[in-house]
Amino acid sequence: MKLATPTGRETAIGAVVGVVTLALPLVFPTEDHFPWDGIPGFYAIYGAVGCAALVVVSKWVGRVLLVKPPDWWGEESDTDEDPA
Amino acid sequence: MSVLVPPGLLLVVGAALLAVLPRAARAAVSVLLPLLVVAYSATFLPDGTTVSYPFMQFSLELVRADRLSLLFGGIFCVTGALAALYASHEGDVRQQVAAMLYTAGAVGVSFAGDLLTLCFFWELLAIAGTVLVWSGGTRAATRAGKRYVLLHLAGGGLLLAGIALQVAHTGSIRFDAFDPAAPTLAAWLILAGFCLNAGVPPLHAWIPDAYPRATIAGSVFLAAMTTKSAVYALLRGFAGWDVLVTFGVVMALYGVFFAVLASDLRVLLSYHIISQVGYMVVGAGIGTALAVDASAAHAVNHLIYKGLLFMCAGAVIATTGRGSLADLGGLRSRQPLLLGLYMIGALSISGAPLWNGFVSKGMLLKSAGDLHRDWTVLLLGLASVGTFISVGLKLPYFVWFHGKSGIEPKPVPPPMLAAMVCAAFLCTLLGLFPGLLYPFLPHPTDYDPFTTTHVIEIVQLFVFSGFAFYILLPNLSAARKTLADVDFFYRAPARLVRKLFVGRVDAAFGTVQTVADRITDRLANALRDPTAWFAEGRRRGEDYDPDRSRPPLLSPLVVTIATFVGIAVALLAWQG
Repeated sequence: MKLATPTGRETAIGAVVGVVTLALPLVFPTEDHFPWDGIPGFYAIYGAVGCAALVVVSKWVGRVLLVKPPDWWGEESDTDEDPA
Repeated sequence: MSVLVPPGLLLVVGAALLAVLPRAARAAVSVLLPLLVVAYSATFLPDGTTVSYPFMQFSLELVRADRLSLLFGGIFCVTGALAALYASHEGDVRQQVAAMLYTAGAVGVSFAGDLLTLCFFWELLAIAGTVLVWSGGTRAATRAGKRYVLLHLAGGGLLLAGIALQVAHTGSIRFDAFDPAAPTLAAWLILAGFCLNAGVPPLHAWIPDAYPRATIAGSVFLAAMTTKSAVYALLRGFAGWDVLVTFGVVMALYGVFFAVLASDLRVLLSYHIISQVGYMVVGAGIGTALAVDASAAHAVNHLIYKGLLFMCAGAVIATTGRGSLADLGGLRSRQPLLLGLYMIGALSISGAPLWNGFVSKGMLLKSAGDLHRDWTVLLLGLASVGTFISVGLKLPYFVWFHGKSGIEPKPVPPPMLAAMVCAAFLCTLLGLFPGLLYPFLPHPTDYDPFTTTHVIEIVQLFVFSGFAFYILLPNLSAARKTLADVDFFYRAPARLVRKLFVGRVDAAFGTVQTVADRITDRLANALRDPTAWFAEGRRRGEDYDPDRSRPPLLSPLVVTIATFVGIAVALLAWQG
């Protein structure tokens, strides 16, 4: 698993944006509809974990099962005689 | 009997007209006729209008205009006009006729009041869609088109079987809602036919197989009509069928899962059709007034932003000649306007506040939340994250930012640009003023998407998924690849079957032919001159010797006598 290394400036911008985003519910009161609405920053956690899960799981399933070489079906070239 | 002409047939007549018009007129007619049909429907077909004709013992209801059909019929025409504007500089007559027929199919389905009319326009969609795929012109397009038409004819067969059963049971061909409490076999068959066109896995593989093979403009049309007319049919016939909620959630996640892997622009966007249609199918499954509204509104919004995304992808392909993320990159400074237009589409599809996807997705989540379907809400939220990272971040990153590919793109043709600007304008307009769409929705609503709770939730979701995306970016690959999908299960056996029943039979016939030829050859050589059997013959390499090489006198005598004896024996045997 390779991870990006953000530069100092990127980290600073990210931290500011992240903190502001997390602080929004403190400034603007929100309502609770769902059981998870009581957890502070639930959507932030869900977004980050969900994104990580999608990338990691799809990459793994892709490597094991789904990703095949280009032109796996042998249909892309127009000059070939029909193989199948 | 009414003299009103069904809007679908107007477009069919338009398609016939296109075939004979000169090039300049064709472009104008393809854009203006669908818009005229919208005006015509709005003026002459108010809510509650029906146009029916007797047919055998049935009554064919070619037009049943109500709020749902007018909304879908109208938006199909608008999308058709936008796509035609986008395609107008190409002037390929076959494609223009097919596209008009394809739009006619979707509009006809929207207004069909009975199942036979529905089925007719359903098949028109399948056939015109196939021609659009074939317009791609490559061998891959030809073969994908063959698979496309076979699958859709099979789906049409399911539909027709269901209709036949339905007519046998009820004696009526009216297309009304099927009762979720008492599902019949007929209803299940019709549902299966609808699900194939909606792209419900495992009946979805034709979407990423065929759509990316069409021409640039062809895929803009294809992305619009078939799946959304199936959504219309589901809303009309199967609202409240709980199984659709499961189907829809599976679609929403399945699509983004593959989109995260995809590296071809249009394959990626095709998988997102499945994902987005999943939201609409969930709405149909929930079936409350708000959910049906949400589903219909999402269909309208989706038609505009998905059209915009396919147009932008097409513009990238048209200006650079490349359609794979592997070959693109660094176009930010070359195509800033295109990037801006694309991002409007991407933010709309992701459901970012201020754009139209935000409104209809919020409406849908509220309708699910009202019924305490917590898992549905959570899983659709995950699908939104996947949409945002794949369409909103991955694709633009690899096309416009990543590296410097040194590509010199051609300028975007003005008609394409005009169509994209119109679509982007509509995305923004309906995002800022969702109230403009509400009067046209099936049920009156005053849903307000801009609650602080909703906005903050989405902002947190997207900002932090963006962070996670940034950290994990090195794991995403833009390399060219084929994604094996469930089409494997019919494409791989097809090869085997072809090998067995065509290859093997061919080989067997070939062998028989060779053997027969050889035997004939030998016999012909041997029987050419029977006298030679008695010649001593000249061995290879020997000099010519008249005494040895000439046949002796005896041999013709023996042959003649043997022949007569043979004939005599044969005659005797025959007589006796």
